[in-house]
Amino acid sequence: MSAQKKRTFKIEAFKHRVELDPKYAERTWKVLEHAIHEIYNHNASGLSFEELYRNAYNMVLHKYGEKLYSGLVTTMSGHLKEIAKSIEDSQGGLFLEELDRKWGDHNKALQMIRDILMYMDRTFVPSNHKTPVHELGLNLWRDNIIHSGKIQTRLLDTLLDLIHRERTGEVINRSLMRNITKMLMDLGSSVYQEDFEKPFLEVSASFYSGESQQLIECCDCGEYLRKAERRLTEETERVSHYLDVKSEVKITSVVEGEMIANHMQRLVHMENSGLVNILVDDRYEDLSRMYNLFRRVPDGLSTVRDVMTSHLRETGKQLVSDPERLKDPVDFVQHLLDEKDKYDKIISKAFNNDKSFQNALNSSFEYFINLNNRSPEFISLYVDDKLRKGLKGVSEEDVEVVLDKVMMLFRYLQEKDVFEKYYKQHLAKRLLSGKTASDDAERSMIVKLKTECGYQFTSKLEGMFTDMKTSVDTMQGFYASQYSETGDGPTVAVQVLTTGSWPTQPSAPCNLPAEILGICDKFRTYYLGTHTGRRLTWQTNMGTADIKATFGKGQKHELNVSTYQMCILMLFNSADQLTYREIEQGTDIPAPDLKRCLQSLACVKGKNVLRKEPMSKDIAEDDAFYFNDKFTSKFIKVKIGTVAAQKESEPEKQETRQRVEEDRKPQIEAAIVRIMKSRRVLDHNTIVTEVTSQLQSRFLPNPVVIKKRIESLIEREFLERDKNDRKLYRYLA
Amino acid sequence: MGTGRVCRGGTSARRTYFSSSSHPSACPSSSDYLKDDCLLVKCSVEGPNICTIAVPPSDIAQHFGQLLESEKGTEISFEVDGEVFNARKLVLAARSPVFRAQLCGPMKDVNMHCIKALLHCIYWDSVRDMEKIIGWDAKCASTLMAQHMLAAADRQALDRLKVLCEVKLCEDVAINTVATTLALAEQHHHLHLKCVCLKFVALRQNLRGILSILSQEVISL
Repeated sequence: MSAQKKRTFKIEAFKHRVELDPKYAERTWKVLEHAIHEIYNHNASGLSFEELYRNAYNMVLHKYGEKLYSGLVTTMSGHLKEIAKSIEDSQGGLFLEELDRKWGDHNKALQMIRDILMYMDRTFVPSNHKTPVHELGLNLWRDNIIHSGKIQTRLLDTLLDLIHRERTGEVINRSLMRNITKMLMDLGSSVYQEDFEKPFLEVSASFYSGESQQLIECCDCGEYLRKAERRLTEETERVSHYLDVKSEVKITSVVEGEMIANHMQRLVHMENSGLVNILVDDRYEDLSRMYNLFRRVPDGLSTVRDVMTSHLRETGKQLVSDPERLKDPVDFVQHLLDEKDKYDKIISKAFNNDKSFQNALNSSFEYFINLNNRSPEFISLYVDDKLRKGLKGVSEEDVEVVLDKVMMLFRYLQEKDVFEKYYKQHLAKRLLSGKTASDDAERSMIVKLKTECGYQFTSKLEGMFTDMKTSVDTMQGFYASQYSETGDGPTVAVQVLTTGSWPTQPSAPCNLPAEILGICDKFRTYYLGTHTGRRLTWQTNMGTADIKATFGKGQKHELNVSTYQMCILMLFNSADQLTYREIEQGTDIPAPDLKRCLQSLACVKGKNVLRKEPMSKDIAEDDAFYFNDKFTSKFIKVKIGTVAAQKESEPEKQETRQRVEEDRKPQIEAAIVRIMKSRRVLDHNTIVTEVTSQLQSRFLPNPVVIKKRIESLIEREFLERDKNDRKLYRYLA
Repeated sequence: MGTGRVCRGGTSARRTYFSSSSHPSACPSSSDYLKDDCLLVKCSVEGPNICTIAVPPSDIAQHFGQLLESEKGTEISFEVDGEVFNARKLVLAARSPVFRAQLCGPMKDVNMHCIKALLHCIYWDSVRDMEKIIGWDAKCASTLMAQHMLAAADRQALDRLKVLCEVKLCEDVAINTVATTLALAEQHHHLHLKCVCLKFVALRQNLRGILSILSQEVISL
């Protein structure tokens, strides 16, 4: 209002109207009662809101609120009873529709009534602790309609029947269902729950109990799970369409319980189609479905996991004890890797990379790999095979992938020190025979081992590489210093090995041929000239030689043989025939090696540069050997019996194992001393536990051995027994 | 220099950056960072973000008030003492649930009655300019207006307005109006107002004056 418009107008004094008319209340009420009737009869448009509101307002103001309220209750109840009758009288299919329609009408009427009676609702109702109008309207509907004897059961039966029909494939009126359930929710969640949800869940439980019984008899595991999943989706969809959202978790848990939880064991162990079969066949979809369904029920996943674990352990155990498989170590390890790959894939594709399944996989592998105590050796042989030739033409990343996979197997080994021993042996052979396919791959493997086990593990291996490199430099220096002496004499390539780094295979050198001795001595002089204070010993059991041989018809071949074989062959320069004994005397080669060499020189087809009489495979003392004039070969260069890494024979295996055990003793002792030094006083069991945990990254120490070591340390006065308690040990500084 | 210490303000946390005791080989006196046996450390401190923008107070009431004056886009007419005022359905419905029921429901109403001042308050959300609207500066006039407004606000479910009127009535309690005010307060359950009135009545100097006025009113009935 602008300030210019100055209006003067009268304000009347506020007058309180005191109603003296005794019939006032009754008259006013009658107006309102009439209005309510009109509203229920769909004649509201003829009413004046202002008038009705004012009437109700005045009644409350003049303290007739109680009359107004109770009048409302009576009138509304009366109308509702009529409505109930009309609903009850509706025929069959029209029952729900009639109920829905009348509910809609009631809500509209209630809204209008509440608007008119708003003043009473805001002032009289709260101060007299009455139910507000809207809530009152809902309660009256509930009491007169929903809980009326005839309607209550009929309503529930109709709803459940419709749901059952939909479950068996019929199409029903979903929006009508929606309205009805919404009505129940509006009346209060306890009404929804008591009058519908609880019986619904019970009926559903028995429905699904029956269906699951039926299905499990005639379906296989995969099919059953498909059907169960379908039912679950269906129920979820049903809830979203016409049930209250809170029912979802309740109905799904009913389905899960009846269809899955109750039949878990039977499904998983079903013949020809159970979990084991699905795993074997790599059926990712079925596995994924099983995972997702079983995840929903208690102990579901642990059931799946347990079956998978026991199957894995069983197959693994069979794999590692199968003598056929064990004949070829490389193949054996490849099978292990394939099995690991298979399960890794299953876990990532179907089991959602579930950590607990990963752990189960790891523990199973750890279990069965260590059942066979040759596993460390075989894994080393696998790596050896790959590093010799298996990785040719493979890209750098793929090399890494293969080595990483092998490292995974390595981690499962309990006896890592055994692996170290074999790896050293195999590496030595590879390096010395120049058979590494890729230097980078070798280095990469060392790095991986170092990362896994620490510097201690790989320091000697690295020393071996260093020796090889240094030897190349030494040879260059040697030949540079011999420039004046080059002639037709034999050339030598020497690898100088540091004793501590290389696997010790002590053996006395054999008799080298005179032609070789010369240059060997020259080298020795040269080397010791530049490195005083060192001692050189020829390792004739580890070398190779290239010999030019001329045979009967003048055909020249270059033979690549071991040093031992060279010594043997050179003998035939001065004699055409030699007996085994003569050869043995002449070369001083140890018997087992000698026999092997002779076999490879005389008994192998295509490589028989010597002839043997008799022609048998075994070597006897009196056998005679002849230079084989008639030797032929397609190749100019012939390789004879390179000493490749093979899996050890029994006695060799025993020997290696013994060495491993010997090596373990000082490690155990060192661990004991370390522990006792820091803890001072400990009892026996604690020492055993501590030592085991300290050493478990290398091997699993035997408690009996630990006990023996403790006693040895006591003898050597590193420890003493407590005078009172025999189980207690004390550190002696 | 064997040990360097840097103090952080406030918490005075000390950090030892160099210590010669454990690493005798890494002698810091040979470090490149030392000059004349001194270590210079530069650091910059970031403080909290203080926003210095001034936010003006809410002006929604002005906007709606101007809407009333402009009478643009109105759908309802109010007859007040022979005068017609136009208003918008939406604003009335937004401010009072009673208006909402009346205007948006199915029931038709031909005549709408209202107090001009009430309409003003609905739009402006304040009772401060009552004198301007009434055009009458007398104090008792504003009290009468507030009494009417109190009842009307109560009827039309305008709660904040009710409180504003109550406040006004508490301030303006006078001998000639206190009786009515008290009755109003009683009827509409305004306890605080009732309290103030009773206190006023209880004062001896007021009591006689009030009683004489009341007796006059009874006679006039």
